[in-house]
Amino acid sequence: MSPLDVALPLAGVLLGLAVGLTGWRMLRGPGIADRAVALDLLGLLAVGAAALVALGSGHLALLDVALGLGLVGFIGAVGVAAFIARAARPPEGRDG
Amino acid sequence: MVEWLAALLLISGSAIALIASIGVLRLPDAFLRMHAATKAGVVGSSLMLLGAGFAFGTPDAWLRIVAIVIFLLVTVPISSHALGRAAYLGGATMWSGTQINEMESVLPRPALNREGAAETAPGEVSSMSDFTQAVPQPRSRILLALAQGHESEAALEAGLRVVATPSAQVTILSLLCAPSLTQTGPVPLGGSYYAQRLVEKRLARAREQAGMLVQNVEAMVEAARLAAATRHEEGDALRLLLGAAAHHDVTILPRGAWFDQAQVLDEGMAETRARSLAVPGLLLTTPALSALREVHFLHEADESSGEALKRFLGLDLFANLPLAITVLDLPGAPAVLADAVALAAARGRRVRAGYPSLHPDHPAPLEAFIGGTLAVIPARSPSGRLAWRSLREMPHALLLA
Repeated sequence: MSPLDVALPLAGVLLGLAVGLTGWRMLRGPGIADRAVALDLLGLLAVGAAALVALGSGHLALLDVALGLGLVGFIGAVGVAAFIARAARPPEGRDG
Repeated sequence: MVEWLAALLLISGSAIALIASIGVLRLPDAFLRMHAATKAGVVGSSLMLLGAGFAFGTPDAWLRIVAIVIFLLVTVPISSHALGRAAYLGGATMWSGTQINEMESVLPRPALNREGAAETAPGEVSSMSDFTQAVPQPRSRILLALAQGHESEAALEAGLRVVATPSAQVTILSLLCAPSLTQTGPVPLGGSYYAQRLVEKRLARAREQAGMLVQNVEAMVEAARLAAATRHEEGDALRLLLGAAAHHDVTILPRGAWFDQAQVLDEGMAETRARSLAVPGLLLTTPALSALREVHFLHEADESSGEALKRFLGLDLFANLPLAITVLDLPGAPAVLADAVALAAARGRRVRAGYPSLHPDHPAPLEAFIGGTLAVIPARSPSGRLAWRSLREMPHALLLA
């Protein structure tokens, strides 16, 4: 029996727990910044999950999915950050 | 053997991811949660990816995995920096035990809320309270607004000498009024290229002048042995100034200040300007402002003046100088004066009634405010009668409360 047969489910359980805790923080907030941070971490966890699933199923293509998830997480986080920063500015608009 | 290594990497990676998520759940504010999420998150995911790489073992898989890991290492610091900046700008609550806020008075922030306990569950905060030490004492925060203009350096120096205490935290704010500099009039056919060049030239010259002024003032503040931070901002100078002043106890602005071509304080338009600059704690200085002997509060016998007096007493400025209070001659003025004097005396100030009372249509005697007397004026009085009438004519130093 390969050690991977044990490690893969165990890593999956740990990762599932991590996703659960992070998701709880994301739902609970309290501020938009807390939610954004939790969402950022969820993106990173999804990259790890994609790696696990790729290993479990043997499909290399799932690693490309991991790359895509990382990209989406990055752009999403920057987008949310821009949104928060803009919402914090006074409403008269921005200057040059 | 490689399989054992892969298994070890997978499990340690997922364990670190779990630790990161515990940190995100348990740490007391968004900034600390970010610390857990980004560092541990990247390491956890990267270790799991490396584990997958050892398990696959093919060059094809390694190529992708190395690409993903490098990608994560490059992007996560950027996104977390952006998130942290946004959280700060958005006024995310800070943990009550926060000791150092290096961005204070560097980045604007709607309300500096260090409580944090209001929005998080009590259990979470109390579990971190072992780390709590004494919260630093609030220091008086002074904003030095730099501007080109007649004798502005001397005026700033005089103002600083009068206001500063050894523990004061000084922010030097250099402002460039970009809209007025980049404005071009009607341009003849074919002239837009040169108009653009001229704008750039003007901006460059204004920046150079602002830089020189900053250098001089920094040297001056250093000579006074005060802690200082410097900011340079470009945009609508008046709006930037008001935004920055909201985060400071005292704002020092040379009277007759120019932000290059946009005059912020116009001697002839004092009343209109006063309304747009109605910031409590704004000290308009002149070079003549020197050894003060007395502070003179001009009370307009209305409610906003009463609040202004309270704000001024709350600022705790010039506590060792005698305070005189003069009330505008309106019905009920003696009672207002008695109340004001009693209030100031209750705060432990040496206080006296100023002139018996002033008629609303006659300016206050100007000679009283020359030299050793600093006039204090209610900033948000709806009428704005006495103060501006009396001080419009001559460029005196005055403090808005």
